[in-house]
Amino acid sequence: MPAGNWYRLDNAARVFAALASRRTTAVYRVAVALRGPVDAAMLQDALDTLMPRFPYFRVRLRRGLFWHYLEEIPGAPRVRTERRAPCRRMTRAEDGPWQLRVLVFGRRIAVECSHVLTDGAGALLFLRALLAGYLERLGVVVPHEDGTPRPGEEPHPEEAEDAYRRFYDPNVPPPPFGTRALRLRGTALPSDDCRVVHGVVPLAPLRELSGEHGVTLTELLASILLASVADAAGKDSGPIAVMTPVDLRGLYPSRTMRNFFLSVTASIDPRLGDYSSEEILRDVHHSVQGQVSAKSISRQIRRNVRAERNAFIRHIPLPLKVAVNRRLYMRRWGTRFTTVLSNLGRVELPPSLDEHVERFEVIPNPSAAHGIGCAVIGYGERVVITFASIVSGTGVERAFFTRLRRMGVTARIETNDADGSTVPPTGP
Amino acid sequence: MTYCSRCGVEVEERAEACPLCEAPIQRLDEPREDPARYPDVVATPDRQVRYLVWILSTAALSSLTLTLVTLDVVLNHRITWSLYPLVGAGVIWLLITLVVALARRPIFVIVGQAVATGGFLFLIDISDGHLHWFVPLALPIVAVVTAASLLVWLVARLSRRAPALIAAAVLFGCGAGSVAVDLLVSAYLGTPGMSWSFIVLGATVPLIVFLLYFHIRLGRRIHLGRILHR
Repeated sequence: MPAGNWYRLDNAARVFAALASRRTTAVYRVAVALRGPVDAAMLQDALDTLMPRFPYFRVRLRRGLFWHYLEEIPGAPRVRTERRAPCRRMTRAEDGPWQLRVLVFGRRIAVECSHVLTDGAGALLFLRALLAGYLERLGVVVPHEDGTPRPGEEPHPEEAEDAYRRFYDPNVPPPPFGTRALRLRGTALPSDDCRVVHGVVPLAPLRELSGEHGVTLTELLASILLASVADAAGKDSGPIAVMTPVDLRGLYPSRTMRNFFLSVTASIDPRLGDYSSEEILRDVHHSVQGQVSAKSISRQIRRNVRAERNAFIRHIPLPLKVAVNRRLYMRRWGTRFTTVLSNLGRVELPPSLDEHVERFEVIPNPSAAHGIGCAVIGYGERVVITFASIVSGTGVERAFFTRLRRMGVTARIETNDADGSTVPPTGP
Repeated sequence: MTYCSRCGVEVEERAEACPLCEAPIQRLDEPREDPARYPDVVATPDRQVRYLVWILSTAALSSLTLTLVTLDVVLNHRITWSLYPLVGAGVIWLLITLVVALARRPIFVIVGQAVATGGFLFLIDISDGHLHWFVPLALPIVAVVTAASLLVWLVARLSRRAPALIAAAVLFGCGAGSVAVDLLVSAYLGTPGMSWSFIVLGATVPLIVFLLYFHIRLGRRIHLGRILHR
């Protein structure tokens, strides 16, 4: 909703702006690994040319009296060499005014983006546009028909809209409030640190497995994650819930490049007894399918936007809103799920770009409320499943990938914790 | 390809232990060249840094006071003048400890410093069994300095991206604090009125005016529509 050169925050961004801290950074990463080393100067040139195409990303976050807002600024962020842990909080000292950073390490181009700007789908489109611009500078012929935004194009006015407000219907009833879920415990890593574990798995056996059980790939992975958390937490733990964000662009006709997602939750309760894999898959499938519909999602939109439009809430000063939001998140909203599984789907590129790209990666934003999160992205015949954690111990990751192996899918594990300093010693 | 025999997952060629279970990786051949996927980052916990600062300060202050006390005792055969640096170092140590312990909460640091300094002055005044200057002089001065510090903290918190405004607030705190201290000391000495604080005001006021002008005129424009949007 642009007016002059500033933007109101969208509904989800208001929450993320309030929650952003050294642990709950609200910063996630989408990255692409190329087949050759990345030339930072050339990438900077591509970024400089591309930024005017995304005016709603050329912004700084400012504080108003009642709400945060985004103010347009000229220029583009500086491409930097990656030197520190991923998904760290955006800081003035390190990132200047920007809410997104572009990092290069070896063959990888990484875009780290604050949820204040956009969601995973928006950031992925930005990365694809940046990749196309970079490869064009290497002499690769990039076809223009795949819908990737191009430098010089006029952005569609809908791209900057707060789609939550557009599809808000005040007449639908609010959704039921979920029950409190298990919270994984662990010793916190130093603030500003984040342990990343990638599991690279072939797509074909995963597809085969989900086809066999008649579930989607997201439902399959959510089921394995639920079972893995149960393995790691023990039988007497409380209800375990996995929250899965849903890209609402598939349900509502919007071209917005801002946040436009809500979440569905799948859960099991180990106190009711042992669950077989089939039971979990069936429960997750029916539960998710029941929630992923415009009707069901409209109830969540109604709840969130109604709170934002409430006359009393609107007039609460920002510092108080931030304090209340943080407390509510840690005590109420954040306690309704144990962890997050975000699937960005399968990226398809024009054939001329394919030969230069090895794979895509996504790292979810760390959160103090649930400690560990999981994100998935596919490219070509491979899927990269990534866990990002801010607590020590790899119980969930180990349970997840060993379960996958028992199902016949072997993962290749890569980590940023090269010396294993955040993995406590395990028994024999 | 390299595997972890416990987890059954494939690991990076250069891995010496499994990233999931830390079991050593057994190899039958030499590892191939496998470029690192991430930079080697060793994060230092904030607590460790603060603890290091505290240890170094403690060591420096103890060695300094020990040297002075030893010198005093050797020369005078008892503690005489070294009592003053000893007590001073004790207060500095207390203040550093407060800052280190409450580094993430500046407001608590300011209030804690006020309580520690006030308590220290109170103990000195009452050391002969009676209160003399603590209530009319020391307590108001501590209160004034604390209020000035809180004002600077508040301005810095509300406008963290306006260095000119923060600098103006610091100067205002110094100027106003000096006037208050001057008035308090003069009143205590029985000669009410301002004296030396005129010089401080003369130095700070033009600078404050310049900084405010810089902030309002040359700094960012104020957009009330954005700031007040509801």
